[in-house]
Amino acid sequence: MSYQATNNQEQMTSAHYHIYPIPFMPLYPKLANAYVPYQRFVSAFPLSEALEKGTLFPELYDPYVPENKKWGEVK
Amino acid sequence: MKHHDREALLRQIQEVEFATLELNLYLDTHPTDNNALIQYNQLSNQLLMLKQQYDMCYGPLLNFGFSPSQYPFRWIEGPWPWERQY
Repeated sequence: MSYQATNNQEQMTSAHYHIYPIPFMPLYPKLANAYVPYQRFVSAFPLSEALEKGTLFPELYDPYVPENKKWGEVK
Repeated sequence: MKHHDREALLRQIQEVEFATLELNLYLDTHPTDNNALIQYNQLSNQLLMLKQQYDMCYGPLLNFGFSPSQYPFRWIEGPWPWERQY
């Protein structure tokens, strides 16, 4: 594995391509436009837990519980 | 070898394979997240080793393209998933 190559590549592209090239949400969201917040990888479930839960990412784990979902209700 | 239990090894392969798939999907939209990439590479290596270990102990995981077979062709050996008794 060549870490040097990775660094060079990063230097070459960092000017226009950062780790997170897209902001979490637009600074000035426009009305009548839909946005998906840009995920950031911070932590992961233990692998056995991830397989059970169906996702590796705690921020994406959101099981459907019918009684909690009412119109206009914020979880 | 740490794993004498065939089912435990299969389960571990499933866990690691699922995690690499998850990181694959993440990296599709975050190709320059080096932290995620490092973890992806570590898990990929681990997955390859686990599969090779399984292959050596219990026979082929895939019907073709992953590993050579001893004589006679080992893929047709049981148990098949519906015959599992281990």
